[in-house]
Amino acid sequence: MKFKDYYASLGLARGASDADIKKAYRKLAHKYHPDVSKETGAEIKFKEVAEAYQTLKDPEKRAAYDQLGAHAPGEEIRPPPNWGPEPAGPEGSFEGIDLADLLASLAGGRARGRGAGGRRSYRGEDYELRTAITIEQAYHGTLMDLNIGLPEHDGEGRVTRVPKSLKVRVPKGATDGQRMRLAGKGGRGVNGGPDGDLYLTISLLPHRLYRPDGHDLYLDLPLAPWETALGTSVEVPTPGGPVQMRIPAGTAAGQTLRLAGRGLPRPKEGNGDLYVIAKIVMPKTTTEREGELLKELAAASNFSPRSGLNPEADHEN
Amino acid sequence: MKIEVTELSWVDEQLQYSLEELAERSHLSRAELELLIDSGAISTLDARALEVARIAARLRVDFEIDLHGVALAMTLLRRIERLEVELSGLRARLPPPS
Repeated sequence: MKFKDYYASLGLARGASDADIKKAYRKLAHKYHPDVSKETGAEIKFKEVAEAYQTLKDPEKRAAYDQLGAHAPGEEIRPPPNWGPEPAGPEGSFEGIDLADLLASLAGGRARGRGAGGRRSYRGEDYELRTAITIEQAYHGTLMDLNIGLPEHDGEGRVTRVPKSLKVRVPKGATDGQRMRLAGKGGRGVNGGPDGDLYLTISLLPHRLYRPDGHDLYLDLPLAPWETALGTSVEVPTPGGPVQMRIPAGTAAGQTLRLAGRGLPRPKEGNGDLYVIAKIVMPKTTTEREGELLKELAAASNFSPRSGLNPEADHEN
Repeated sequence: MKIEVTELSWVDEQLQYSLEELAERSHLSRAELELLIDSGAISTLDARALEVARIAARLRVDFEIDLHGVALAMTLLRRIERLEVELSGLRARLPPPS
């Protein structure tokens, strides 16, 4: 069994008062609770904080925990003999037993779970996971490995965390915030109750080119001023491969052109659209010839780009 | 070793639950669910309601707040969620800061 430093998880010294423990927990919960926090790694951090609080707020569990003394986090330890029966297994090994689970089963059996006694059947717990995928993975669908540790009751009131590896297929059609379900892959049902489900919330990783809005995608398309002025046909990248797109003459900067059905696939049918935003870019340096042509254009043109800024303009129409 | 591939399925938005099913799956009581319904945090008993009920149950335990506080938090979280979707849609339309 690996030692965990619950005081350090809450940023406290070992002699901290109950009030300090509560205060430290609340502060950290506000910061890291996965339902309210957007911090990276919040979920893992909150799990650590909550586990520490579950033990330290309970006088019985805290006293049992304090008996272990101080160790380095992760150090392999054996609980004192007065912690109750040794687990079944080769030589009563504590290897793989989770400290929090053991403390929970120690504390008067209160945390035994509903399955330890009685004949009523219960549905297994549902569990939530979050994962991030790339836009290409959302477009084509993807296979991914999920490593999870689900608590299981051993019938003696002891809870063990069983590590599970699942290979799952995310079908094409997922987008940011999409929830998916793995039926029957959550906690085990008790006394013949059905197994719980595992829910997976998908988010999309930021992409170098595309910005998603639901199943639509937005792409900035750099164009030379003469390309937008004269119109052209350019190759545009899409998640499904490059396509040729016609840029009409007179396209303005910021104008949005739509490539219908070139966005992310939707779960049932069809695809979102790819919106191409014209971005007019100038060469960093111009050749002598280009300079001459631009000067010639400036001299020949009577276009007045700032006429709208004229205070009189409002009265003209 | 052969590794089994599990197929993920879409959370069916059409799915409807009874109040009892929602209570069992979320570990909230009927009365607590009714409070969430009265507050507007839950409107229809569908997949979204199950998600809301389970978040509410977690918030109640993890923040040690009563259901009235949770209902208020749920309303605000829902509003933040809507604003985030709107913001991310607007950001998608704008060129990223260079």
